[in-house]
Amino acid sequence: MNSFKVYFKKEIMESIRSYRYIILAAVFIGYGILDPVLLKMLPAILEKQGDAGIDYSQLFRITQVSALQSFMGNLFQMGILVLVLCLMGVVSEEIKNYTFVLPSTKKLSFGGVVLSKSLHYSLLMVVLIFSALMVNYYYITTLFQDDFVTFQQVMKSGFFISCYFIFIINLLVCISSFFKKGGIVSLVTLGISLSMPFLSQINALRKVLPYYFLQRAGQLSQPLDSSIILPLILLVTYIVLLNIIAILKLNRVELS
Amino acid sequence: MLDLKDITLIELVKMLAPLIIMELSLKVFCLYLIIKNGVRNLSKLVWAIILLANIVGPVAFLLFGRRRDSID
Amino acid sequence: MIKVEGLVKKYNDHSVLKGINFEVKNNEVYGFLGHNGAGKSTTINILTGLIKYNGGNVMVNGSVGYLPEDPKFYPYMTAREYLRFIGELSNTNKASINSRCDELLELVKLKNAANRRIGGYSRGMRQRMGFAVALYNNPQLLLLDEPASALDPEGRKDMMDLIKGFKEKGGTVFLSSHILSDLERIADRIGILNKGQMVMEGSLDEIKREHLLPIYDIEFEEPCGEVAEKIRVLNWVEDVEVEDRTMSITVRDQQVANNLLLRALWENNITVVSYQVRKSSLEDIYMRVVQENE
Repeated sequence: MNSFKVYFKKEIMESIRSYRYIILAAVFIGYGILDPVLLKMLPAILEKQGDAGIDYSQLFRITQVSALQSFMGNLFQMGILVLVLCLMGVVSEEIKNYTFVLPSTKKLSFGGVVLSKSLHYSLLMVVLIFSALMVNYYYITTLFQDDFVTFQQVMKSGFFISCYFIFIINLLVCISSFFKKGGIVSLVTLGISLSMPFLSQINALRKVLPYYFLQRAGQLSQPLDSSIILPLILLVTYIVLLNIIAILKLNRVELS
Repeated sequence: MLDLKDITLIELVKMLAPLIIMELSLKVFCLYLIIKNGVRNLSKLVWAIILLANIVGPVAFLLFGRRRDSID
Repeated sequence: MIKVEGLVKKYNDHSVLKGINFEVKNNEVYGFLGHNGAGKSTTINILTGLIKYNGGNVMVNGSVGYLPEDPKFYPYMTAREYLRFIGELSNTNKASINSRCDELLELVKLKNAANRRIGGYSRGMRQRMGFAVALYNNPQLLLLDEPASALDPEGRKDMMDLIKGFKEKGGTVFLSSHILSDLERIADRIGILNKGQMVMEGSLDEIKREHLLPIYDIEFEEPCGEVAEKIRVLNWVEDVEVEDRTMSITVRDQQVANNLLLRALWENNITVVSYQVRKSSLEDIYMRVVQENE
């Protein structure tokens, strides 16, 4: 418990001083604004350059729903890429740089370390995703008119996106305990997250993979119902397993 | 439907203000880091040019171009 | 304080430690000497519990503070922040953390740099910082891995003073080094490790008494040639080193050598230009012991 508290504080300090908060906020919230604004200006820009006869605003008929989906698509690509690049060293750098050596002579528990990292960045993701969606919602509703999106729908999508990103965070922490090279950590993590859309084409796997949450995030009109219970239980199971594996691995690593 | 032509210049600036402020402060901050702490991987000039890209520029710099506190 | 018997450590099939024995008593400074790669760091890591071993008994009594060869900190923290971090990790109560930090920063002379990030510290500052971390919980035993080897003379002296200070307050120190002169200055007892085996152990006085042999430096008019070989086989001669016209003869007993050496040379019909006796240094002992075990 003590290690957890101390390392949670340490993660906050590290995230401030290595600008992780700035990087992630810039991507999540920045795109929340930039994406709808670009969508709005795109027809006007094309009009200036292209044929005067074509009405581009009809060609790209952007509604509130499509604008929200465009932003979510951006999050899934840019968001995950930057997240992985930002956090690939979350455990591996500590092993590589021997920064666990001194703490481990002072009653360090790796359970606390792993849980504090998982929880800190999971919370960060939830905060950033909801902030980004709220900002995005504001812009979408002022800029676009058709296909109204309700605030509730956006929050529901936020919940699903958060579930997926929490999975990615825990996956990252686990993978990062196994490889010393950040490049390999990011490749493996991105590989897993990119292969999920293909694997979930298989019907039996559809609800089993956390990718299901991303699919649900895009389906704005579908209500929250019992269909998400199984995926949620599985998600919790994955998180518990990933953390246990990471802790077991760290307890076996020779630190120096 | 709200059209770009219908938006007055003032409204447009108001709408974009948060974005512009965020972008500008990010770029200025990164430029300050480049000058004060130096860079890695690429030259200062190249990083300064990369900063011009919206959001991606500063983010790429903070991830890969920033000179970190050295571990040894 | 420490008792190690038949300690064996293997990496895959390669034996790093081949059954070493030693004992460190209360309030003594034990110097652990050996080449780089002799197995010193491995031994210390086993004593700290950081790595496991394959055989033998290891007993460490009392609370332990550990300073790695190249201590690593979170470079974005200041010295004060890092010490607080260590304090909170060791569960010391909030009120005492501040005073303990001040105390330690003062002791290791980092007070003026306490609010600067460790990433900008020099090697010597980081070593002293590591010493402060090792001392944090008031340990009875300090395990120091090459504490002074990477430092300049000034940093080395600072480190030696810190170790002496710790001993004077009743602490026990186990430190490794590949530099003998460092150990000579502070160690009460010395163990020499070579290729995973203890090749010599004893108090500094014992070692000096038993192993410091007299060396005769003799200069000749002409190159010594085969005379060296004839001297070498004499039973009171330990070792002969030849460098063109000079010969350094290590003898087992000065009394015998005084009587017989010049006669032996005279018998070989060679003209002596100069003749000098000196005591061998610990460095010579070390070199000799290590060579014998090649």
